[in-house]
Amino acid sequence: MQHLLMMENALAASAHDMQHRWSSKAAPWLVHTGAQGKTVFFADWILSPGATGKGNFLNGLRGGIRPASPAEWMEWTQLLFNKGMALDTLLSLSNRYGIKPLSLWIMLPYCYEQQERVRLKALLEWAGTVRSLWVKRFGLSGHRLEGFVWGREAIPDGDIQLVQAFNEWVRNCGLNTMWLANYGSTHVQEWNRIGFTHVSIFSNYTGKGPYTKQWLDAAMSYAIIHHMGLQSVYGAGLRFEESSHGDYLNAVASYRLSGGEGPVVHRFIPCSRGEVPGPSSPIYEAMYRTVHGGG
Amino acid sequence: MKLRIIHAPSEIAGQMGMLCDGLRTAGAHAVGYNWFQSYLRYRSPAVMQTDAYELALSLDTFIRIGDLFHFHNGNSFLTDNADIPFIHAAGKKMIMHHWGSDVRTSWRTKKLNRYGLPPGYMSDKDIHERLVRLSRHIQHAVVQDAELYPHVKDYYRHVHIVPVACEVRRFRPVYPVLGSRPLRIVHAPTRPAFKGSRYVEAAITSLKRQYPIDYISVQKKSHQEALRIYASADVIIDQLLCGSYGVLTVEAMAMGKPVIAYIREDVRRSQPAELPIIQADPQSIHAVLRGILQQPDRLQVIGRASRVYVERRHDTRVIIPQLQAIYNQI
Repeated sequence: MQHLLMMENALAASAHDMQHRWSSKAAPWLVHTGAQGKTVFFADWILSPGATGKGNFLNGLRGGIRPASPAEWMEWTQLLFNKGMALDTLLSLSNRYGIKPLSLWIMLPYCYEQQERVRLKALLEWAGTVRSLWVKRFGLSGHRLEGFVWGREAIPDGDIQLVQAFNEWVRNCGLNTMWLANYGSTHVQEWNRIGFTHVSIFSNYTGKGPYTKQWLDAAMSYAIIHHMGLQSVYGAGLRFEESSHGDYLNAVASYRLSGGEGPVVHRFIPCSRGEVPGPSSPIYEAMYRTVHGGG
Repeated sequence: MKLRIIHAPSEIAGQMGMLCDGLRTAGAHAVGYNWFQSYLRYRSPAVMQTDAYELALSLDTFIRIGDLFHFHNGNSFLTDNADIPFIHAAGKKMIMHHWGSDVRTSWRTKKLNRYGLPPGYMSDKDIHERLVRLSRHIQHAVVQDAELYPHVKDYYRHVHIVPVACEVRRFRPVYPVLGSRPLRIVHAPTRPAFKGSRYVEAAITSLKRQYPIDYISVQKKSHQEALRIYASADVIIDQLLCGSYGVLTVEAMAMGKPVIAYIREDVRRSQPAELPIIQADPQSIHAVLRGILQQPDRLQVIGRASRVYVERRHDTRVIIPQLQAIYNQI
C-alpha cells in the first residue's frame, strides 16, 4: 500500500447517481488515460461518508452540530453495499479496466454523546455488518476489504479506551485500522500502542495563515521518524491557497526518497459538496506523476 | 427553523457546557467544541472535546452549517482569529464571551483595584490588539459582571452582562453542621497568586494556634473531585484580590456554603443588595475568620441565603433566557 485516495460520498445518492454522476467522478481517479493508454491511478481507496438524506453527518466535528442517528448509520451501509451503489460501481469499474485487487478502506461513523459501552457496541455492530456484507457480496470478487478508518482526526482522552477496544476487535477479525491524524494530535505518537495498523498525518499547511511550509517539512520528517504515513491535501476551502498542493506533492516525493514507507493519503478538503477535481484540473496529471514516480 | 448555535473553542470553568446544556434544554440547537483540555476535566454531553487542529480543519463546514458562533475567551476556530473575517463575510452571527485574564489589562486593573493582580498570560499590548481585531467584525460581547465590563466596553458596540451560569438543581444543598467537629474551611487556589492564597494560609496558620480548624487546600483535583470536597466544607474561601466572584463561589453557594471573597465596592453595588458573600480582603481575612470561629451560628443562615441567591441570579433557567434575548439582538 503506497498511495490511497480518499473519496467522500453524499449518502442521499441514488443508484442512478452512483452509476452516472459518481462513477464519472471516480473513474478518472481509478484509471488514468494517457500516452501509455489506460493505466491504474489509485488501486487503494478510502470511502468516507458525507451528509445523510436529512443533512446530518456521521463523523468528524461537523456531526456535533448535526449528528446522524444510529438509524442513519444504515444509510452509509446501504450506500456502500446496496445493488448498484458505491462498491458495485467502483468494483465494476475496476473489473472493466482489469484493476485487481482493489483495496478498500471504509471510514467509520463516530458515536456522539453516548456511554462508552453503548458506543463500542454500536461501532462493533456496524463494523460487523460491513464485514459480513463484504464477505457475502464481494468475498469472492478478488478485491480486498482492508479495514476501517477512524472517524475523527482528534482522539480525545475520553475516546482512547473505545479506540483501543475497537482496534483490537478489528485486528482479531483479520482486518486493519487507520487513523487520519494531525501532526499535532494528542496521542499521535502512540498510534501503534492504541492499536492502529497505520496512521497518516496532516501537516496543517494550507498556503495561508499561521502554518507555514515549515509545518509540512516538519510533519514529513516526523512521519518518517515515527513510521507514519503522510496526507497530501488538495484544499479548496477558505484556508487553502490552491498552489499549496504543489508543495504537498513535492513533500510526498521527498517523503518516499527519504525512506517514508507509510500510507500516503490523497484527499480533497473540503469535500463537502462533492467537488472533486477531474482530469482537466491542473492537479490531475501532477498527482499521477507523484503517485507513479514520474515527478 | 432553529438557529444552529456553535460554541467554541475554550471551555472555561465548565461554562460552555453549562450554556450549551441549558440552550438544549430550552429547545435550542447548540453544540460546543473545546480545545482546552485541563486537569479539571469538565464534561458535558453537549461539548465535544477536540483540539485546535481538528477545529481548523472543520472551519469551512462550520461556516456553512452554523448560524450563530458564540466564541469564548477571545479565541475562535483559528489561533490568530483569522477565521473571523470569513465568518463575518458569510453573514453569520457572532458573539464573544470574555472570561477574565483574556481581557484584564494590568494598567486598567491598577486604576480600578487597590490590590495588584499578578500578570496574566497575555500582555496589555496583546490584549488590546486582539480586542481591536475581534471587535472589527464582532459587535456583541458578553462578560460576567461589572468587574470585567470596563476592560471591554471601549471596544465592542454592545457589551452584555450575563452572570455565571449554574445548573443549581444538580447541587444538593448541604448546609454547615456546627458544633460537633472543628470548622472545616476549604480554599481552592487554582492560581494562588491571583487568589491571594498566601493571605489565606497566613491567617489560617495564625488562627490554628487558638482555634480548632480543619483546613483543606484543594489543588490539582478534577472538578468532580473538588466538588466532593466543597460539599464537606463549612466555609469556602474563594479569592481576596480580584474584587469579583466566579464559578467556584457560585457552585459553593449552590451547595449551601457560605463563601468568603473580596468583592470590590463598585462591583457589589452592581449586584442585588442581598448578595450574601462574606467580605474579606488581605487586611481583614484574619479578623473575618476569627469572627466566624467565635460565632459560627450565622453560617447556617448565610448558607441558606447563598442557595437562594444563586437560584435567583445564576441558575441556567434564569441565564438562558437572557442569553437567547442577546442572540435575538445580533
